[in-house]
Amino acid sequence: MKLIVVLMILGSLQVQAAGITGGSKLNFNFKDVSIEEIFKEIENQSDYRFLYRNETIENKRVTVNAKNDGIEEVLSRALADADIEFTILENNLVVIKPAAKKLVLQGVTVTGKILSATDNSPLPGVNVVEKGTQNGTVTDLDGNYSIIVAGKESVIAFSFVGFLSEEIVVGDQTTIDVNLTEDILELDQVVVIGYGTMKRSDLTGSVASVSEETLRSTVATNIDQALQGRIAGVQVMQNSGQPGGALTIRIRGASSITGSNEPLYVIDGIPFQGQGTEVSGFDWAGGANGQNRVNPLSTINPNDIVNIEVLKDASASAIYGSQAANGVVLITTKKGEAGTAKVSYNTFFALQTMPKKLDMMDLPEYAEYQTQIMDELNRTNDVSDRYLDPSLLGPGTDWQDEVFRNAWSQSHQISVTGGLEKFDYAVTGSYYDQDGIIIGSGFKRVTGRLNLNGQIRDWLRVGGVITYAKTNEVITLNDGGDGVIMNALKMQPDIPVRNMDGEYAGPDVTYAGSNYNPVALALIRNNTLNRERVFGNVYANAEIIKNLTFKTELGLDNSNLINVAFHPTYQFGAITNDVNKMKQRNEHSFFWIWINTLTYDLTFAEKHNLTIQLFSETQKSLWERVEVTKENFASNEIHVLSQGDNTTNITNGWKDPSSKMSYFGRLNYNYDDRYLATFTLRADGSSKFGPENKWGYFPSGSLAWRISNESFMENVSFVRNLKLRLGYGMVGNHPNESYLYGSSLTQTDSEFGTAYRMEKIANPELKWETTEMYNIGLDMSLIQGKIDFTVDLYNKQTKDMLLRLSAPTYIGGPNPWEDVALPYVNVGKMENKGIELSLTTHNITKSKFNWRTDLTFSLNRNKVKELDEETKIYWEGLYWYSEFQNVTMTTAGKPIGVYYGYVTDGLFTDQQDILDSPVQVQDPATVTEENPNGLNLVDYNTGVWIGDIKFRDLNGDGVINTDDRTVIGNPNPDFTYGFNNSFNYGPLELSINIIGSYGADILNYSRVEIEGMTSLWSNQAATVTNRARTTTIDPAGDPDDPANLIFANPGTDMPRFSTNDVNRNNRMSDRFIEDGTYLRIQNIILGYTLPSEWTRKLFIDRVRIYINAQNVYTFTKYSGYDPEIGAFNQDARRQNFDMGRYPSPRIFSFGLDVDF
Amino acid sequence: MNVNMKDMKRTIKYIVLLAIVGILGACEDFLELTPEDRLVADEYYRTETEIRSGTASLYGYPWFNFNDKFFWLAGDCMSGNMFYTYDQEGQFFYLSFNAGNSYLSNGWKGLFRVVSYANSIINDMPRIALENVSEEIVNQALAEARFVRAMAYYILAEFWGEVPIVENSTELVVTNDMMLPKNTRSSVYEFIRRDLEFAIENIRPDESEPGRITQWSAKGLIAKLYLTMAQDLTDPNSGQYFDLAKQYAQDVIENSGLTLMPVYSDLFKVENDNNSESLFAMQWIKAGYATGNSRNANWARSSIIADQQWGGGKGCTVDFQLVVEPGDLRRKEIYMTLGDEYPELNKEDGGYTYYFEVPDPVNPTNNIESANEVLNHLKKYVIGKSADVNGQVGIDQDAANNVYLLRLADVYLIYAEASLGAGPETTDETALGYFNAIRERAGLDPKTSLTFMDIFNERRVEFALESMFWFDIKRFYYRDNNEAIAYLNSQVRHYGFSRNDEVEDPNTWEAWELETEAISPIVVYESDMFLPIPEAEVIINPLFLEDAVDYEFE
Repeated sequence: MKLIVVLMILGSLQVQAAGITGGSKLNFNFKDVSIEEIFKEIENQSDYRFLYRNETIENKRVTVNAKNDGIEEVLSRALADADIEFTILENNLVVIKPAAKKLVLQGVTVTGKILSATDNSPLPGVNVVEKGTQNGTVTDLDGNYSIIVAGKESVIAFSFVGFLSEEIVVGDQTTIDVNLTEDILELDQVVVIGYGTMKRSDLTGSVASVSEETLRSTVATNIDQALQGRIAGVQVMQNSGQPGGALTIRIRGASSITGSNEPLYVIDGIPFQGQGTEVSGFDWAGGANGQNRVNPLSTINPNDIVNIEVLKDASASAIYGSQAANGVVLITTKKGEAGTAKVSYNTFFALQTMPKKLDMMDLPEYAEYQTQIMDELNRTNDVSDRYLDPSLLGPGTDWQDEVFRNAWSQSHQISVTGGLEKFDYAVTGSYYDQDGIIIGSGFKRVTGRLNLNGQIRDWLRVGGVITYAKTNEVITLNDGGDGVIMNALKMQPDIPVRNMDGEYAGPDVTYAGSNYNPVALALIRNNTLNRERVFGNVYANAEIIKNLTFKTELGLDNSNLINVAFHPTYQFGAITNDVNKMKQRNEHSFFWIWINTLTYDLTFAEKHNLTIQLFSETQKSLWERVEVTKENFASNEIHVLSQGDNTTNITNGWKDPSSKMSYFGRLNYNYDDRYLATFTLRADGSSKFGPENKWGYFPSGSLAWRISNESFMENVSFVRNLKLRLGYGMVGNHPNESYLYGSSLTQTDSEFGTAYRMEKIANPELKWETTEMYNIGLDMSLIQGKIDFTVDLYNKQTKDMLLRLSAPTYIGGPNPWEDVALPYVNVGKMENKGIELSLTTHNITKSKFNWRTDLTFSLNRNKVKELDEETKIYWEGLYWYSEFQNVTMTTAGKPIGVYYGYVTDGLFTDQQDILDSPVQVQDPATVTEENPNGLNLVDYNTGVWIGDIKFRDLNGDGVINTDDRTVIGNPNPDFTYGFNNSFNYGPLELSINIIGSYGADILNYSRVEIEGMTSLWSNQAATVTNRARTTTIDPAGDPDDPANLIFANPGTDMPRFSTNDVNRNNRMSDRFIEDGTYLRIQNIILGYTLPSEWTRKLFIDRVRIYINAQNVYTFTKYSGYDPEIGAFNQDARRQNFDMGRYPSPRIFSFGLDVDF
Repeated sequence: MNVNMKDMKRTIKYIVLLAIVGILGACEDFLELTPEDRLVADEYYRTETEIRSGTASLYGYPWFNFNDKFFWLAGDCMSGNMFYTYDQEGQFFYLSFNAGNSYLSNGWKGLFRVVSYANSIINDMPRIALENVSEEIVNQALAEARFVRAMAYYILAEFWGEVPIVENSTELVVTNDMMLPKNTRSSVYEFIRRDLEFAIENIRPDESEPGRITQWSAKGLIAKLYLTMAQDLTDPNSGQYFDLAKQYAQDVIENSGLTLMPVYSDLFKVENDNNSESLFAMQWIKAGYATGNSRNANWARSSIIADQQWGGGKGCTVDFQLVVEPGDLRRKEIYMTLGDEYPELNKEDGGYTYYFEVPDPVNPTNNIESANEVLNHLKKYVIGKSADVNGQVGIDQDAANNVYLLRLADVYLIYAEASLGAGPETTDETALGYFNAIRERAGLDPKTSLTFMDIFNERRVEFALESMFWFDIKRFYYRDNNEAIAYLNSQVRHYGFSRNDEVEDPNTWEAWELETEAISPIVVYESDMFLPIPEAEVIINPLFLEDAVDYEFE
C-alpha cells in the first residue's frame, strides 16, 4: 500500500505559534462533519499531524464531541463506526488506515442511566443504538437502559430530540451513565407557524419563540405576562395590577388609531375569541367609570402551554389575512407522548405586597393645611377646633395602608401525559386563587383539559382537544376619579375607617366633591365577574395519496359570563345612600370555525422541495347579552335579581352575529436547504363590511438564503448558521363591532314610550384597514451555537385606517349611546419602523455549570403620515374631567397619541410679575386700543394671583390661549429591552430577568387630584405643604393688596391653593407630564432539583423546588406608583394615563414541581 | 392492508364530499348579516306610530348634559341667584369660567346634541316616510323637530351669542365641509324664527299626548324670541317686534285654554308634570342615568331629604333673598331656611323641618346637617327620596320631575314686558292684569304701574332656579348695556353669614352675622355677557377665532 504523506505545514505552524504541545486536551463539538474537518480541528488544537489516503476518509461523516479529552479517546470515538483504524506514532504523527474486519465473539451487556445535563432529570425515550447496527433500545421512564453489544469495540450512540447526541466506546465498561447536553442551537426544532409547522431552519419570516422552559421561569397569572421582555419587538404592558386585569401587547408598534392594536391569538390552530371583555363599572349607579376591560386570556391556564410563537412580520402572519395587522401569537398546549404515563404536580404559593406608597399629608400636616386655606378664604370659623394645635394630633388615618394589603395567591396543577404506540393523551387540571393587593379584589380560576390524538389507520390521524375554564373575579373600581385608589389618596386623614359604633365613617358635610370611604367602597360595593368557557377542536388528517394530505378541523368556543355589580345602601358620615341597586349582565357567545387544508409535498431532482397548501375557512360568531338593573333590594347581602323591586326593573338586551369566509393558499419552496421561498395569498370576506367592500385580499412573499449551507462557507467553521431573510406582506385589521358601515336605530326610554333615533351617520363604502410590511432579517449562530444573534429591520405601513370621523361637536359626537354619532371612515396612513435585536450567548456550557444570557432590544418609531385632511387632528381626552378633554393628539407627522398642552414657566412671584407677563386672565378694564390684550387681572378669586403658574407664550402674541399649546410628551418609548441571565449549576438554577423602557412619557393625572388643590375637603400629597404662599412686605399694610404681597417661600414649584383655579393651574400642561423611563428587576427565580437518589426512594422521579420574586425593584424617576401604565382600556390614543392605576404587586413565591 | 384500502377509499369519498360542501356550500349569503338586535334606518319610519316614536326621542335624553349642570350653573349661578363657589362649578358664580371648563363644554355639546337629534329627523325621516305616509304626517313630525331645534338655538344664542347654524350634518360630512364659521346673532334669530313659523303652520292641532309640543308652545316661544329681538332698542324694527311679541303672547293667553296653576308650589310636584301651565318642558323619567332630572341629586341639602345629595354648599344668594318681598308665597318653594316645614319631604319621619345645624344623634360633635354661607338651601326641583314620591326618584341622578323651558306665567310676563316696550313705564290694563295675576298667586299686592325693573324683578323671583334669569339679564343688557353691567356689579352675591359664637343656639338668626365681604366682591365686565366657546371646540375648528358671518338662507 502506497502511502501519500501529507504534511500539514500550515497546521503545525499555527500550533507552534499557539504554543501548544502534544498530549494536549481537545475541545470541540462536531455534528455530522467530514472526518477531514475533525483532523483539521485536532491539528489546530494540538501538534498532531495526520497521514492518510484520501479514499480512506472520503464521504465519511461523523459526529463527535471532545471535552478536555485526549486524542486517543477522541479518535476512537470519532472513527469507531467509520471502519477506520488509527495508530499514533511517537513523533505525533497519526496514521490512518481502513479497519480490518473483525469477528464478533461474544456480546457484552451494558446498562446505564441517561440524565439531562441541564437539570439532572432522567430522560425517558432516549434512543440507544449500537453504532453501525440495527441493534437498539430506548430508555425507560427513569432513563435506564440495557443493551447487548458486540464487544469492547462497540460504540453506543445515544440520541434524543433536542439534545446533542453522544457516542461512547464500550471498552471495559458494563455501566455507562451519560449526561446528555441540550442542543443549544435548535435549528431542527419544529416551530408552529400559521396553519402548520415548519423546521426553524426553513423559516423565511420573522418568528420568535418562547419555550416552555422560559415560560416556567416566571410565575405568571396570565400567559401574556410571561412574554414581557422576552421577545424583541413585542412590548407587553400591564394595564392594571388588578388580578385578571388586561394587558396591552404591541407587536411592532400600534397600527390602528381606533381599532384594536392587540395581536390575534391562536390556540392550537383556532383563533381565540373575545378581545377585551368588558365589565360594568359604576357609572350606572351614580358614579364614574374606571378602566373596565378584563383580560380574556386569563381564562387560559398558563401551565397548559408548552410553547408560544410570535409571528411578527407580515410575511409570516399574512396567512391570517384580515386579522393579522397586529401580529399573531400562536399558542401550543401540552400533548402526550408515547411512553409510560407521566404524572406531574406543580404548585406555588405567593405573597404579594405593595411596592410603593405615595407620600400624602398626615393629619398634622392636613390640619395645618386646612387652617391655612380656611384663613385664606376668610372661613376660619369652618376650621375644626381640634386643628388649632396640630402638634397634639396623631398621624390620622393612613388610607393607603387601609386599602392596600399583603395578599396571597396559590396555584395547583396536575397533569397526566402519556401514550401508546399510536395513541397519546394529556389530561390536566388546575386551580388558581389570587387575592389582590387592594382589599376586596381577587381572582380564581379552575381549568380542565383533555387532549387526545390517535393514528387510527396508517393514513389517517384523528384527534382533538377540549378545555374547560371557569374564572371568578372580584373587581374593585379603579383608574377613575372615584376609584378606590383615588379615594384613598384624597380621603381626609381625620376620618377614621369606622366610627365607634362600628359603622363605616365618612365626612360630616357633603359637598359635590365629597370623598367616599374607600375601605367601604372596596368592600361593600361589589363587582363580580364569573366566566365559564368551553373551547376545543377536533381534526382528521388523511394521507389521500402519497404526499397529498387532507386535513379538516372544526373548532368551537362557547362562553358565558355573568357580571354582577351591586351598589349597596350605606351611610358614611353625612353621605348616605338609601337605595341599593344592582346590575346584572349575562353574556353568551358561541363561535365556530371550520378549516380545510390540502397539502401536497413534492420533491424533484433531489434538491427541489415544494409544498403547496390550499385552505378554506368558514367562521361564525354569535354574541348575546342581557342586562337587568333593579333597585330596592331587601338586603345588601343577597345579590340575586329576585330580591329587587320589580317596578324598578330596567332590562336591556343585545345580540350580534358576524361571519367570515376565507380562501387562501401557501407555497413553500426549498432548494437544497440553501434557498427558501414562501408565498401566501388570502382572500377574506366579512359580514362587517357593506356590499361594496366585503372582500379583502392579502398577499405575501418571503425569501431566505441559508448562506451557511453554501459550499464556500464550509470552511468557516465558527459560523454554524447564517440566514438572510427578506419578506413582504399585506395584512388587514377589521373592527370588532358589526354594522359599522350602516346606520341602525338606537332605542331610548322616553316619556312617550320607547323612542328611536339614528345611531350614526352611515358610510356604506367602509373597508378594511390595510398594513403592508417589509422585513429584512439576519439569523446568525456562531461558535458552535454559543452565540445566537438575530436582527430584524422592518417598515410597516398602514393605510385606510378605520376611524370614527373627528369633527366639531355640532356635527355629531363620538358616542353612539348619546349622540347621533359621526360615521366611521377609512383615512390616513401610519408608519412603524424599527429594529429588533435578540442575542443569546451561552457563556458557559459545562455539563455541571451553564450560564446563558438573553438580550432583547426593540426600537420602534411610530408616525402618523396622513389623515383625512392635512391639518386634521384626532383628539382624545379623559371623559368629563375639566381641562383634560384634549389630552392627546393624533395628527400627520407625529406619533400616535402624543400629549399636547401648555408649557409652564415657573410661578408668578409678585404683582409686577403678573402684570408684566402675557395675559392668562384678562382684566377687561385694562383693554385699550394700543393694548388690545390688556393686562392680567390680579385677583385672588377671579384672576391671576401670586403663586399661580405662569404659562409660556409660545407664539409671542402676548396672550396665553389655545395657540400656545404644543406637543409636551410622547407616551411611546424610545426603546424597550429585556435582559435575562440564567445559571445552572448541577441541580441548582438561577434566572434573573430585567426589563426596561426608555423615554416614554406619562400623564400623571393622579397628581391633578392630589396636587390640584381645588377642593377644601380632599387630602393632598405631602408636596403640597410647600405650596406657594404669600406674605406681606409691609406688615402694617393691607394684607389683601397684591402690591403688598410677595412670595413667602421662594423657590417652590408647587402653585398656590385656589378653589376655582381661574388661572387654570390644573390645565393640561407639562406640569403633569413625567418621564416614564424605568429599569425593573422583573423576575428572579432560584430553583433546586432534589438529587434523584433521594427522590427515587419515594417513587418520585423528580422534585424541583423554587423561590421566585417578581417586580423586585424598579429604578425610575416617576413619582406615581408604577411607571408601567399601559393603555387605558387598551386604547392606543390613551397610553400612559395614570388615573390611580392599580399598581402591579411585588410577588414572592415558593413553588414545587413533582414528577411521578 | 387490503381491507384498509376499501375503507380508505370510502372515507376519502366522504372527506372530499365534505370539503366540496364546505368550500362551495358557504355562499355569499353567509356574509350578509344585518343587526339582529336593532332596527335599521331604511326599514323604519313606515307608519305614523313609528314616526312619532322617532320624535319622542327629542324630549328628554338629548337634553341631559345641558340640563345636568350647565343650565343651572349658567342660568342660576352666573346670574347671581344661586350661591355656589367651589371648584370649576364656582367659576360660573364668579363669572371667571375659563374655556377649559368641562361644564361649559357640556352645555355646548348638550345643546348641539339636541340640534343633531332634531336634524336627524328633519333630514333623514321624510325621505323614507314619504313613501308610506302622507305629507301632513311628515310635516307634523318636522314641526316638532323644528320647534325643538329652535328652542336649542334660542338657548345657544342667549348664552353664546354667535354660534354656527347646522341644518344637515350628514350633508356636511359627505361634502367634507364641516368647519363652519360662527353665524351672527341676527342670523340665528332668523333661523329660529323660520323654524317656529314652520312649526306654527304645521303642528298637529289635535295633540293628545301631554308634554308633546302644540302650536301654543311654538307661539309662546316666538313671542319670547320677538321680545328678545325687540329689546335691542337701536334696531329700527324694535317696535314692530314688541308688537309681534305682544300679539303672540296674547294669542297664547287667550286662546290656548291653558291656565295658571292656582298654587305655585304645585308646579314643581312630580305628579303635576305637564300641567295646565306647561308649554314646553324637558320630559324627565326615572330610567337610569341621563334619562332623569339630576337637580334633585345636585341640589338636595342632605341625606335626610334625598338619596343622592350634593347640595350642601348651595343656596340662594343674599342678593336674591333681598329681592324677595316679605310674604311672597313662592319663597318657601324656591329655598328653604330656618323653621320651614315640608311635609312632602322625608315622609317616613313625618316631614322635614329646616334647621341651620342638626347634630348627629350618634356622634353629637358632628353635624348631619350644617349651615352654609347663605343660611338657606335649595328647594325648587328637590322632590325628596324615592319613598316620598312613589319611586319617582332613582339613584342615578334620575328624578322624574320635568324642568320647564316655557310655561304660561312666562308668557304672561312676556306680554307685560312687550307692552312696556321701549318706554319707561306702562299702566296698560291688560298688561297689569296679567302681571298682577302672577303676583296674586304669590300672595303679593298688585301693582298699578310697571317699569322694566318691576317686571325684571318679578321674573327673577317667579322663575328663580328655573335657570331663566340669565336670559332676563341678557334682554336687560340688549336694552341698555351699561345699566345691565352696572346692575350686575351692584349685586351683593358676595354677602354671607358667619357664626356669632356668643349666641349658643345655632338655630336662631341671632347666632349668625351678615358679612358684607364673605367672599371678595365680583366684578362683571361687558365681555362676560357672552360665554366663550369651549376650548376643545376652538381647537377642532379654528374658524371660531374669526368673526361671525351672516347665514345664507336658502
